[in-house]
Amino acid sequence: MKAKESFFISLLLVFILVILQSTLFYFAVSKVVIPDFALIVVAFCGARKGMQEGQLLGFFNGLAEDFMTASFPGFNALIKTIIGFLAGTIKNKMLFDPVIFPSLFIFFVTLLKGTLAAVTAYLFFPEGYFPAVFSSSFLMEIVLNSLFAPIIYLILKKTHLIPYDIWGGK
Amino acid sequence: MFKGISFRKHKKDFITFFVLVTLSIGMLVYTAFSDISFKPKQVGLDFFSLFQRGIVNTGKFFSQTAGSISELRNLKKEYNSLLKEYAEYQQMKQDYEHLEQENSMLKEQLGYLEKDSITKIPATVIGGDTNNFFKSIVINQGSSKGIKKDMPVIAYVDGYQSLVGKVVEVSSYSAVVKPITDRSLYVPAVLQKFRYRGLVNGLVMDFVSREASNRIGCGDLVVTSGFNGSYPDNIYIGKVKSISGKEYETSLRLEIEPFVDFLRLEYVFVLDREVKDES
Repeated sequence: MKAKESFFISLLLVFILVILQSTLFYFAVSKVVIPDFALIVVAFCGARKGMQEGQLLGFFNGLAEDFMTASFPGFNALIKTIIGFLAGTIKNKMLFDPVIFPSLFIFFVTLLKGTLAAVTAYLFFPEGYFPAVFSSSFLMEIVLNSLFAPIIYLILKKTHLIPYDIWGGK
Repeated sequence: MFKGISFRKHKKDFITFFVLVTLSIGMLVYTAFSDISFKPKQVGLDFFSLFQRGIVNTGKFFSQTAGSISELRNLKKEYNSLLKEYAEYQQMKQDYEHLEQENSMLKEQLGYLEKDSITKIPATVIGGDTNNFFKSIVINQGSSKGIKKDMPVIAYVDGYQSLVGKVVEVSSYSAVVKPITDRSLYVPAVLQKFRYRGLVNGLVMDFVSREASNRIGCGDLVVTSGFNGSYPDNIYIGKVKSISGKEYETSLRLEIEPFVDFLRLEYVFVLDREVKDES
């Protein structure tokens, strides 16, 4: 699959996941805690295909979330851009096994998301607008994201949206 | 081997990163510290709500089709009981008309004029927040139906008007509602029975006079006070769950259990209040 083609398919996948997260998963799976599938895709695409793809996917993922929610536009875009960029820095540097590393990786990525959300809210939100970052539902999200990570990693690999080899090289 | 990231090698990536971060921060600062509505957000909300609407409607179609067989079975039973109720309501309607006539006559005699006329705009919940930091709700009506920012949103729980939250973002065909569970929302409230005032914020009622401690208890009802005009009065918020307050503090802190079950919320009403001139 060509790089551009792969990027646009990944972007479409991220948009679909964001819409599903706000509708089907919201109504059917759980209205309390929703796993962030789009974040998992962004992080894996970044880690396997580099900073450029990671940050662009992250930016558009965040922007879509910002448009659909009560958060200030730019809040999720900023967080996900940074996550995509940082995930891209490990391209070709980490060994990806099918289960443990994807889970651990997403565990830390979700933790980073919470930390960035807290810092961003502290720096840029007006007084009284602090979102519930480190709550029990966020801890649940960390667990759910880590559990779903190997499955999504496998799907991305099988659909060739990320390279098949364990090092992520071309 | 773990190597560092060379700026020269990844110059393009770093420039893109800088541009995206600047854009994000720019949007964030612009929207967080100004009251001007952000047009791209409204366009984006409209765009994504199209898909949300489509998915929710498709889901409802399938669930309703599956449920229609058992529904038919119940219809016959319900029909018979409704016939009985209908006869009762006919009688009640006559009484009501009589009372209304009497009421308007008395109002006229007292020179009382209604100040507010509230229009309820019905809407369906078509989506929720994608992350767990905020708990907003997306509804399927927007400015095209007259919905404006800051309008209160209610739902009917067991026949009672109960407060859901307020509109925080409006596009042409959808709107984002911030629920009363959100800590950034402040609702002037009053204890229904003993009329002690307070401020509900994130399901906690603060600034309740300490005098109330001997009179109020768990289970007491909390309603909107209508104070400052942001919400109409007498809309149910919830029940008192617990009462706390240190001895040296001048006010009490009441934890509230909301009437609205936000996990099962499907239909809401946006309140459009047209304030008439007082004469």
